Amino acid sequence: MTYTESLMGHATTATEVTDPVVAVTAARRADIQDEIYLRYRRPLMQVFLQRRIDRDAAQDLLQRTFLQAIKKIRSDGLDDPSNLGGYLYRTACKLATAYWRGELNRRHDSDGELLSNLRDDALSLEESLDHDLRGRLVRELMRKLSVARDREVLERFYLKEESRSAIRESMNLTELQFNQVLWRARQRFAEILRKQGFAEGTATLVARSMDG
Amino acid sequence: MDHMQFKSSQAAASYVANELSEHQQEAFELHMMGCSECLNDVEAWRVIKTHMPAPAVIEAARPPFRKVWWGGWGMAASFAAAMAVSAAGGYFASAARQPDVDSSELAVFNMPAITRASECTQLPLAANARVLVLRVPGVSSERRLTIADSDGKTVPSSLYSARLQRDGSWVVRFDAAYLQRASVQVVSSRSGTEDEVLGCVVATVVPPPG
Repeated sequence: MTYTESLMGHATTATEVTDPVVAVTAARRADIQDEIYLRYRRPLMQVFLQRRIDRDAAQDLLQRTFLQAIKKIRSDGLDDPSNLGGYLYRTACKLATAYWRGELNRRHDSDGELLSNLRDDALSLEESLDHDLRGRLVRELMRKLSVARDREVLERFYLKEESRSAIRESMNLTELQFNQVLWRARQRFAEILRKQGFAEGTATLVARSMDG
Repeated sequence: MDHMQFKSSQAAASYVANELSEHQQEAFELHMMGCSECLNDVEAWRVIKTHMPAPAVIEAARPPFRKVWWGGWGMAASFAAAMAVSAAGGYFASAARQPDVDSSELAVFNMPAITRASECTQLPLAANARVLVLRVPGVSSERRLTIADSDGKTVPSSLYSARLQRDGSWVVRFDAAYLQRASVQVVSSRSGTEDEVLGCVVATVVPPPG
């Protein structure tokens, strides 16, 4: 069964749960499971990317994560239903570890096409902008950093992957100054994205609506 | 840690740069599961990291330098002086080092385990590979690594370079084209003792997998 199939096979399993979200899940399974997917998909994707798993494999692991969670909710419920995010996170971490140990089956009963048919109104920044445009925007950011020191910090931090402490020491920067450099760059990048008509965090609305 | 602490310490930027400790990373990731603002930050920093251009690209794309009133002969003279200095520096620097190699032109292998087969192990290369690096672990500290041709004659050191790493392994750098033309034997030697052949390798160009 794929995660998507689990979404389709709604309202057939009685699940005794106490958490409002999970309880509603049992009642209006397809809609809410879709919401859960949209809410947690992006952070879980970052969890996988952070562990140096490429995007295609991460997509597969993401599907496995949700599938395991849905099965668990349907069969046993969660020990702490209010911590659904934490449960998904732990599941994702375990799957990432299993992936690197080569413990996962190469073939998985996933259905990428069906998955991609889910609503795509919560795309990440990388998914929203094509590769060339992203490259252009980052180059623009680097050009627009007016202080040469700021550019050097970013290059050393991300391109050369030097440690924060080494950069600070060699450039004689305090922790605060270092963080200010990062803050300025982040602000500038947000401006550039806004000028491109890209509103960051289209998923924010989804997350907020779930909180409410 | 709460959201404000993560924000003020630029945790998202540090997270993407792999700067957080294991404990900090877990705490931040759990926070990110429910915080769209931090998630947006992480996504933005990851895009920046992934697409960070090399410094030369940034400089090339910078707007042209505006001429100032004191530009003119003074500027021209300093430019000429700078050219002379950099030309001389470039000459000496290029004589002292190997040409730059793009990572796609570099092939790195661990020394294959020695087999009873008489033929050499073929190391698969991409067509554009220029440099082949072979890591040879397990060489006793009192022995040196040398390279011999198929007849057992020592290959001139101009055709390869070998150096001992801090972990005790040797790293041997070959011109990829040379290793496609000739097989070589990796030999560990020590004066007064018999040479020990650790293996034989040759390079061959193969198409990409799949």
